[in-house]
Amino acid sequence: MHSFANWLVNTTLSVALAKSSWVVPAMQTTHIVAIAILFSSVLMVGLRVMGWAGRDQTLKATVERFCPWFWGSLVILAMTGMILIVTEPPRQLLAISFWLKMSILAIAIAIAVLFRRSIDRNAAYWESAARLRTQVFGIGIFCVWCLVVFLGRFIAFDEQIWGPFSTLH
Amino acid sequence: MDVKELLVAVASSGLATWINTTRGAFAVVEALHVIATVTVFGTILIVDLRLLGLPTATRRFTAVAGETLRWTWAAFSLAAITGPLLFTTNPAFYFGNFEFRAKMLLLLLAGINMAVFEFHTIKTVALWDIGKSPPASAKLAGTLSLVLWLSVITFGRLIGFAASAMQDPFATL
Repeated sequence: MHSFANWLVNTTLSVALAKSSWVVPAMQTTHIVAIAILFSSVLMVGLRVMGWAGRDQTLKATVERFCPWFWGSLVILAMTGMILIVTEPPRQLLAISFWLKMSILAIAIAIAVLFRRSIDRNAAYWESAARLRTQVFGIGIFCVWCLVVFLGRFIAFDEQIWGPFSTLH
Repeated sequence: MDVKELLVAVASSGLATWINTTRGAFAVVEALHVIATVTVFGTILIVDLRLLGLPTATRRFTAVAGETLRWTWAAFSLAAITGPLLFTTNPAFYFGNFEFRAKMLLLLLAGINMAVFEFHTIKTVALWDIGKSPPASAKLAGTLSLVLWLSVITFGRLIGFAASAMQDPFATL
């Protein structure tokens, strides 16, 4: 990964992006706005699963309402994220926080895909599922996405957070 | 006590010392501030878009706002705790920083916009609660809210760049 990061940082594109004073703040700000849309979509769907919001709508309707926002913001996050990686390869690719974030992100996306398929097949199950089960699911997905945000912010503090476990040396 | 003395007192407080010297404390508080901020903006966006009648006006405005804004307030409370905690770590810098001052001013404007809506514009809500395009005053409130909160986030992120540029002038290059 060191050699890949070293190769990437010397590419014409990376050098050009890194020279710009506005690319990183603009991409980070867009990244945060997209996180806001994704995170709030997850929050509102989670609250609906728990029966804490939007009970005037079916769960299926709620999921369909937020799905385009969820996937749309995820596409923007992937694009702005990749630009940030190309701009500052070692800062991202050599940080253990980055790889932990990607691992938890993969789990979070897998949960979203499986949940969507489950809703399409049997929404009635979720509407009438035991209270404990819906609470665990709603709070669980909220915590998983919180963890993604935490690890994302930790990239900037990798050595401080992980100490000797930090890969950023 | 003038402002300068107050800033020095804040900087040397036990709380500031704890955040500055505890490993990872600043990062954790900042991450919580990000979670609070994205929840505030994301949930307000839901209400703002409904005010603009986007994508539809098929759900009652009062239902959308009712189920959403309580989480906005919960998240805003978290931001209002974590924000000042971050401020204590370097009060003199933040106080004199242009981006920080701009963010505070924009927050104030967002608050005024919300107050005008909550105390005035909302009075006619029965006429446009569902199925109708909201009046111009409601659309204006939604648009202003969107623009102001986007600006708050932008200036908030820029504060970090000003801070790292101060410690290391080459950090943002």
